[in-house]
Amino acid sequence: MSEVILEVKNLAKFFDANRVLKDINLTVNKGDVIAIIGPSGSGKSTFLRCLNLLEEPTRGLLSFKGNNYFNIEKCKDDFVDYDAYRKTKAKYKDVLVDAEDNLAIYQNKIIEGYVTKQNKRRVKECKKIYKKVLNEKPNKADFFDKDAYEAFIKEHPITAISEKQRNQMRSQMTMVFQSFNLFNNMDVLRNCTIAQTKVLKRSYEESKERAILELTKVNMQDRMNYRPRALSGGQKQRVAIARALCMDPEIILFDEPTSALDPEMVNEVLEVMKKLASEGRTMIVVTHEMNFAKNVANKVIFMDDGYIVESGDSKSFFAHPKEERTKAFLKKANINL
Amino acid sequence: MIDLAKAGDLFIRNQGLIWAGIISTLILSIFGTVVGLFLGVFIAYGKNLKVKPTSSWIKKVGFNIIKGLCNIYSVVLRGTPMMVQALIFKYGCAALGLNWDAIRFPSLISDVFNGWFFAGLIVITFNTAAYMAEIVQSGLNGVDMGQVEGARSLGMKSSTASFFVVLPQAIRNSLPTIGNELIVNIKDSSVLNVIATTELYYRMKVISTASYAFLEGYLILAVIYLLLTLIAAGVLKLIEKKLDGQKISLNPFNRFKRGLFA
Repeated sequence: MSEVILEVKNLAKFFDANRVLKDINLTVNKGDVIAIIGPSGSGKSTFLRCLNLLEEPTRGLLSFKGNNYFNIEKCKDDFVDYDAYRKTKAKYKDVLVDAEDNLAIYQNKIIEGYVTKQNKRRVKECKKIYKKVLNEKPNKADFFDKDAYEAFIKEHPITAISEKQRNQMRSQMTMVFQSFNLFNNMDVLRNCTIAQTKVLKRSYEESKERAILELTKVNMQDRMNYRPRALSGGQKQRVAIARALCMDPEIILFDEPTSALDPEMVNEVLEVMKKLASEGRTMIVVTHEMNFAKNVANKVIFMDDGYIVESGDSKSFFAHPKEERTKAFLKKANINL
Repeated sequence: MIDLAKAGDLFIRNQGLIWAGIISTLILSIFGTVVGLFLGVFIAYGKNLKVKPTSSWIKKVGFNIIKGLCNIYSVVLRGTPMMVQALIFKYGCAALGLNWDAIRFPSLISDVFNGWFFAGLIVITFNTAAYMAEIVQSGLNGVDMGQVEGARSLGMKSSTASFFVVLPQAIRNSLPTIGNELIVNIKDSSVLNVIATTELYYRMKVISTASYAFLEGYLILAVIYLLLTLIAAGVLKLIEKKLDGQKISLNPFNRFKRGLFA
């Protein structure tokens, strides 16, 4: 049995009404290479950013090596009586339409030429009613059970981990971005050493040695004194990977690392990632490279609309997808089943 | 007409005073720009303060007060002429019983630095800080926030990230504007003569009045200011190149060959 490194339970992320992640459960073992695939807007990137708290999740449990670093069992949204809210909203719609119709009837009469005192008075009355109805629009806050929420919070107080612990955790779970995000004011070597000296408190010599080691691994050792803007996209991404490796991370998160690159550069980055996978590093990769997911990853997750639709061992996932949605996606992605 | 011999004579006879004026103008403008930039960074961060909705009310109120003070500072100091600020400072100090005349140095130094020189230094620094805050703020907004995320994802504190990643880039990107401010300061320090700061213009005014050579005197003054600003612009370009990680050559021939002043 391999060791569980990361555990995700009931993870959800709402941007107000926009529910990006609805219910995500995932267990990551040491040495897993997990590929997350899915259409754009399905919440893949948000999920990755929630893992190292670059984005604050709305609710859920995140645990890294047995330490819960994020734990909110129920959020405010769970205490909103959605059934009653929807019913009231439907009723309100009827009332609103009635008021609008009444107003329109008398207004039309006046337009048609029946300009009488009575009609004018009725229009005035209907306008008053219409305005009143508009003000009575049901509010979600009215259906929020504040007492129950407060009672719940009293029982399960939100224990946020400190900023220091957060940074500690992030350094163990480094991330590689789609847009590289290298520091433009520093050369490649400094890019790789600064986080080591500032976060891990290594000496400059030690961190330099380490940086050279990792840069050699990604085959960038001869560009150490270049600034990022003098590098090509693939080279930048390799430096970004080296920068992440310098921190001795337990998990490396890749957020579409090859999406901004041309096909030739994609290969040089994927080669590096394959090398890392063969070293037994734990990686979570959001990708559109189906071949990478098929050949390198040992577990594939298909996400759509904020849920994990299907997950499984990479070989069987591509050979025999179970869900209809997965089949449709893979067909569109031109994967030979 | 212009009598070149007279002008040359005027310059040579009053060389000591003119050099003292050049030195004090340079110190006023460079000190004002550098310290003003330093203050401006703080004011820019003050203006950019953001409070989380979860933070305590003391923090919220405090942050808003700091933010408001920084905004008022930059609006007021940018909206009034430096000459007026200098005069208000002078008479304000007098009203408070502070006498800048009382500051005296041994004879050689006091030729360049008298008490009012330090008063001028304070006025120009605080005036520049208001402009610098605006410049630095736009520089901060111009830096790609992805790099902050990159730094955070490696576990850096947000203060570390903004000090080592964002601020250097913000200052690098706004360096042309900051240099502009230095050149403006070289010229605008002349208004400090209203509070008897002994800078270049003040010296030349005294010299030309004493010798009745107004045209010659102010022509010499114009040439000196022009040379000072040209040199300042050249030095700033070198600094820009240095910050970009390019190799710079101090050999003037090489520099002209590469067209530095082009």
